[in-house]
Amino acid sequence: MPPIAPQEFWLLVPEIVLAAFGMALLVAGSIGRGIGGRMAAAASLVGLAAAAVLVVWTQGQATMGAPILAGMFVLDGFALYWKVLFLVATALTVFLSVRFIEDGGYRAGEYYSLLLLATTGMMLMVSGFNLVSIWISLELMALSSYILVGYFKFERRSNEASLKYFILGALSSGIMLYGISLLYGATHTLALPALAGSLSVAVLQGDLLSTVGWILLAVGLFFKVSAAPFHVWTPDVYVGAPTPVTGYLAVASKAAAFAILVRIFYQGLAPLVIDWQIVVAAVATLSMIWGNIAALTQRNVKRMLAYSSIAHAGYILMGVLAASETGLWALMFYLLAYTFFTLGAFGTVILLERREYAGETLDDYAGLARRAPFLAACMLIFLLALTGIPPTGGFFGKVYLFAAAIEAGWTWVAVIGVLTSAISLYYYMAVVVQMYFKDSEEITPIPMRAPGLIAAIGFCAVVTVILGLLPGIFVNLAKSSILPLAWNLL
Amino acid sequence: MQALWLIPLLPFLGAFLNGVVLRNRASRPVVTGIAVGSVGLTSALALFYVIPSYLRSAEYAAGHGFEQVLWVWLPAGALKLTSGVFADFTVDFAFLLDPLSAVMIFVVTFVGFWIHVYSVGYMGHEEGYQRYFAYLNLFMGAMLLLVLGNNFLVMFIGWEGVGLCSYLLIGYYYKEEFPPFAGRKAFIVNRIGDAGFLMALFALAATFGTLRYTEIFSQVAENPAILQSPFAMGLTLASFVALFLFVGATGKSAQIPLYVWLPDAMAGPTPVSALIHAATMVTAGVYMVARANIVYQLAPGVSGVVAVIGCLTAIFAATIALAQTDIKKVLAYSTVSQLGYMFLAAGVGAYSVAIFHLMTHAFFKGLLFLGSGSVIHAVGGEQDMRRMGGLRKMLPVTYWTFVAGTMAISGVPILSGFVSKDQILAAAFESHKILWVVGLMTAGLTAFYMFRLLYMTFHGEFRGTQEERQHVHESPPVMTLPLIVLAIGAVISGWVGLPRLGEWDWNWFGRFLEPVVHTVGGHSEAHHASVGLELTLMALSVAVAAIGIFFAWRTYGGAQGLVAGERWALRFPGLHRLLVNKYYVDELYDATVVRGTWATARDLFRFDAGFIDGFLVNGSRNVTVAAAYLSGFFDKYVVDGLVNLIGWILQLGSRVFRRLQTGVVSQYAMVIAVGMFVLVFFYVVVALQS
Amino acid sequence: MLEITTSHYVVLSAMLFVIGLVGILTRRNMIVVLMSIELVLNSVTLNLAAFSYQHSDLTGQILALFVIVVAAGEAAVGLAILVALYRLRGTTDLEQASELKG
Repeated sequence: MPPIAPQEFWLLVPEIVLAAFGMALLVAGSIGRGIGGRMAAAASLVGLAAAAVLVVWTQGQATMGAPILAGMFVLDGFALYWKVLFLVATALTVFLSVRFIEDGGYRAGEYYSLLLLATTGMMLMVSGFNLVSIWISLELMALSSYILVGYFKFERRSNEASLKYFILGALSSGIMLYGISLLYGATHTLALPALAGSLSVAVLQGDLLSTVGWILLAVGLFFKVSAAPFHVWTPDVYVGAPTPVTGYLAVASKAAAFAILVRIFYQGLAPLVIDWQIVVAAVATLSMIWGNIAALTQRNVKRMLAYSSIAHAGYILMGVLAASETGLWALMFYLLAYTFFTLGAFGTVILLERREYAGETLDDYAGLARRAPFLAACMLIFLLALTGIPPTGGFFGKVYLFAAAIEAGWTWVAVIGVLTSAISLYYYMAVVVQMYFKDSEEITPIPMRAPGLIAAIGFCAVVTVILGLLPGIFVNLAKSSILPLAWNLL
Repeated sequence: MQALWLIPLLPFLGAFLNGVVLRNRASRPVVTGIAVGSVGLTSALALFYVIPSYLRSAEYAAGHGFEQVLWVWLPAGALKLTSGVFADFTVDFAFLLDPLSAVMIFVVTFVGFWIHVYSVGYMGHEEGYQRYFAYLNLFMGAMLLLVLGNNFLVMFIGWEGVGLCSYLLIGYYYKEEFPPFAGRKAFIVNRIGDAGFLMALFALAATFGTLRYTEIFSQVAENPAILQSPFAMGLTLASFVALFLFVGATGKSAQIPLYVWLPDAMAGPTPVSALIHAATMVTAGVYMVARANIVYQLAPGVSGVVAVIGCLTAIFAATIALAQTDIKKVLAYSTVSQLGYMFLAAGVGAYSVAIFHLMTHAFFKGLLFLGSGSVIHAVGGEQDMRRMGGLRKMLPVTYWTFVAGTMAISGVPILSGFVSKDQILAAAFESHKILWVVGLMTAGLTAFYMFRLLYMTFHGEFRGTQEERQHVHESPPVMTLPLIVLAIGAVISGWVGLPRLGEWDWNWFGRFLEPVVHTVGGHSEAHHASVGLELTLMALSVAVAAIGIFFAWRTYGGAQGLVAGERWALRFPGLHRLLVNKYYVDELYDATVVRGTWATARDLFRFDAGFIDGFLVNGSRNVTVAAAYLSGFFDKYVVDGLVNLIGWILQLGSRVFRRLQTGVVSQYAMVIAVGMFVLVFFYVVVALQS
Repeated sequence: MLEITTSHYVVLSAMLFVIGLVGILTRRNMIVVLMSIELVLNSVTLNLAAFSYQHSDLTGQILALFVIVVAAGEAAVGLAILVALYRLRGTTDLEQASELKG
C-alpha cells in the first residue's frame, strides 16, 4: 500500500472545519451558562458556509472520481452534489431551530454542535469509498441524531423517541455490520470497487456468505431510509423528536442514507444488480402502500408527515430500482426538491407549535388561511409538492421517477406509485381543507415572530415553485453529478 | 446579438419593479421612468444592437436563425412517440432570432415604446397609474417571449401571458360594470382557441419528440411524408396540426367565429387597444401561422380554410364597421377586418406578405387608435362620433396624423397600407378570383368607413354642447409626438416591401423573409405575375378605394354629413339595424352557447326532479322509468358502493397498519428481524435453487 | 485434536449474533438490551478478526478496532438515554415507554 501524502488530508478540510466548529460549539456550550442560542446558531451558519466554500474549493484540488487517502474516500461530482445539499438542508434546519430551542429552554451550544457533527458524518459518508469509512461516518451521523432526538430530555415523548431510535438504530447497525463482516469474509476486501470486482466472481459460485452479507447490509440501509418493513421507528421518532430535528431527520438524514445506498448498490454491489433490483422493488412497493395507507387516518400532522416520508422512501427507491442514469438523476432531483418542500412543511408545523405540542393535530390548522395567509399559502405549496401536483418541484420529481421505472421495465411498480399517490391526495388535502374551508374558534391572527423561520419557510416555498417551473437547470446539475454505472463497465 | 435574452427580460423587470417591489411606494415620475425606461431600453437594444448585429452575422448570411439556449427548461424524460420509439423529450428555454422574429421584435418594441410614451400623457390623471404600467410592461415581456421563443412551448407561455395581460387591461376600469365582463369574455373566448393550440402541440410532440421549430421544420423539409401520413379524425398530421393551430389563431387574432371578444375589448384604456388589440397581440395568430408555414404548405385544404375564413372575416367585419357610431368600435371592427386580410394572405401562401401587412397595420392602426384616444381625451371621454365633428381646427396634429393613418388603411397609393394590401390582393388573385373580388370589395368598404369616421369626427360642425366645446384641447406633446412618429411610419413603412414589377425588384422585405418561408417541393412563394397584370390590379384597387372615399365624401363630407348618413340608414332600415347590431352574433352566441349551457344544466336538473319525484309520488310503472330506476340503483349501490368499498378497505388497511405500530420497541425490532429473515430466506432458497 | 478453522469462528459468531438478536427482541429491561447489542457487535468483531486472520489482511482488524470504539460510544449514548428514561418514568422497563404509537 503506498504511503499517504500528508497534503491529501487537505482534501478533507471541509469536513475537518465543520467538525472543528462542532466541537468548538460543544465546548462553548458547556462552559458556565453556555453560549446563547442565537450566537450558537450564527456560529454554526458560519461553519456551514465555510464548509460549503471549502467543499467547492477541494473539488478543484483533486482528480474527479479518483480515490484519496488510500482509497478510503473519493471526491466526485456525486459527493459534491450531496455535500452541498446536506449543507443547505442543515443551514435551513438551523433557521428552523433557533426559536424552537430557545422556547424549549435547553442549552443551545450542544444542540448546534450535534447538528454540525451529524452533518460532518453525512459529508464523510457520501465521500466514503470503503465500507470502513462509510460505516464510521454513518455511526457519527447516527449517534449524533440519537442525542438530537432526545434533546428535550425532560419531555417523556422526546426521551421515548430517542430510546426507540437508539435501540432500533443499534440493532440495524449491528445487522448491517454483520453483513459487512460476511461480505469481507467472502471477498477479502471492503473497498467498494474491489468488492464489485470480487462479487462478480463470487456470485457465479452461488456464494452463501456474500449473499447473506449483502442482504444484511441492504437491510441496514433500508432502515436508514425508512423503507418498509424497516421503517417501524419512523412514526414514533418523528412525532417524539423536537420538530426541527424531525425535519432534519426527514430530509438530511434520509438524503444521506439514499446517497450512500446508491453508492453502495451502484458501486459496491454492482454485479448483483439483478438480485438487488428484486429486493428494492419489493421494499419500494411495500413502502408506498404501507406509508400511504397508514397515513390516511392520522390526525397528527407530524405523524402524517412521518408516514408520508415512508411513502416517499418508496417513490425514491424507484430511482434506485431503475438502475439507470435516468433513475439516478431522477432520484437526485427528487431528493433536492424533497429537501425544500419537506423542510418547509416541518417549518410550518414549528411555527404553529407552541409549548406542549399544540399545533400538531389537524384541527389546529382550521382557518389558517384567515389567521396567517402567508403561512397557509406556503403550506399549500408544500402539500401540493408532497402530493406531486404542478407547478411544484414535487410534480417533476415524481414524473421523472415514474418515467425512470417505466423506462427500465418496472411498469407495475410505477403503476402502484401512481395509485398510491392518488391515495395520498386524500390526506394531504385534508390539511388544505382545514386551512382554507374550515373556520376555527380563534380568529386572531397568528403572531409572525421569528423572522428567520418565516424567511426559511418562504425560501423553501419559492424554491419549490422554481423547481416546478424551471426543473431543467437542476436536472442538468443532477445529470452532471451522477455516478458511472458500474455494471456497464463489467 | 448575445444580448437577445435581455429583450424580454427588461420589460419583465419593469413589471416586477412596478408591480411587486415598489407597489404603491413609488411616485409617478419613478413609475414612468421604470416603465418607459425599461421598454425604451429594450427597444433601443433590439433596434440598434441585436437586429443590426444579427444582420451582420454569419448565421444571417447563411440563411439561418440565431438560437440562444438559456437553460434546459423541461427535461421531461422518455416520451414514447407515435412511431413507437422512445425520445428524450426536452424543452429548452431558448430564443430564436431569425428574419421573422426580427420583424416581430422590431414592430413590438418600436410601436410598444411609443405607445408607452403616449400612455404617460393619456393615463396621467387615472387612478392605478402604476398598476397600468406594470401590466403594460408585463404584456411587452410576454409578447416578446411569444415571438422570440425557439419552440412552441415558449411561444405558448408568451401566448398565455399576453392573454392574461389582455384580460387584466381590458378590465382595467374594474369599478365600472362592463370592463370586467369584457375582460372575462376575452379570456374565455381565447381559452377556446387555446384548447385547439394545445391539441396541435400534443400532436407535434407525439410525432417529433420535440417542439423546437428548427428541429421539426428540418425534419419535415427532409421528409414531408411524416406530415402527410394519416393522423386522427380522418386528417393527415399536417392538416390536423394546421387546423388546430388555426383554431388557436382564430381565438387570439379574432377571426370568425371567435372574433366576438375584440370589439368588447375596447372597454380597456385606448392605448391598450392600440398596443394589444391592434398592433401586437392580435397579430400573434398571424405570426404563428407564418412560423408554422411549412405545415400549412403541406395542408392545402386547411390553407384554403384559412384563406376563406380570413376573407369572410375581412368583409364581414368591414360591413359591421359601416354602421358603428362609436369611434373605437369602428376601429375594432376594422382591426378584425384587417386581420382577416392577413389570414387571407397566409392562406393563399403569401406568408411574407401577411407579415408585411402585419407590420404596416401595426403602424397605421396603432396610429389610428392613438389618434382616436387623443380625440376622446380632447372631448372629455366621449366616444360617440355623433357627438363630435369639426375637430379639425381644434386638434391640428391629431387631425393630420389621423389623415395619414386613414389614407394608409384606405389604400391611397404609396402609403404603407396600399403597398401591403395590394400585394395581398395580388396573391389572392393568383389563388382564386373570388377571394380577390371579396378582398377588393372589402378594400372599398374600408375606404368608405374610414373616411366616414374621419368626416364625422373632424369635419363639419361640432355637435356636442357648448360647454364640451370649450374643453376641447389638443393633447400634450407627450401624446402628439408618438402620433407624429407613427404617422411617419404609416406613410413610409411600406417602402421596404414594394411589389416586384418585372425587373424592378425593390421588395427587400420579401427577400429578407425568404429564408423563413420554407418551400416544400421546390416551388418558390408566389410566382410573380406579369407587370401589366400587376399594374392593372393595382389600378383596380386604387379605383375601388377612390370610389369608397368618394362615397364617404358625398355622404358625410358636407356640413349636413350626419343627416345625409341617416338618410341612408332610413332607406335601408333592416340592413342598417342588422349592421348596427353586428349581425346579432353576440345575441346568437348568447342564445345558443351561453344560454344553452345554462339551459341544459337547468333542464337536466328539472328532468331529475320531475322525473324521479314523479315516479315516487305517482308510482307510475312504465319501463323507461324502471330502467332509470335500475340505473340509479346501479349507481347508488354498485358504483357508489364500489367507491365506498375501496374507501372502506383503505380505512381498514390504515387501521391494521396502525395497530401494528404498537409503540413497544421490542415488537418493532421483531418486525425488522422478520423482514430481514424473509429476505435472507428468499435469497438463500433462490440461491440454492439456481 | 480438532483443528480450529475459520468456519468455527463464523459459527460461533453467528450464534453470538442470534443470541444478541433474541435478547433485543425478548428482554424488557433496557440494560439487558444494551448488553445484547454489545453481543451483536462482538459477534461482528469476532467475524472480522477471524476473516482478517484467514486472509492475512489487516482491513478487518482495523474495522474491528473501530467497532469496539463505536460500541463504547454507543454504550455511552445508550446509558445516557437510559438515565433520562429512569428519571422520567422511574423504571428501565422498555414496555413502559410506549406512549408513542399508531
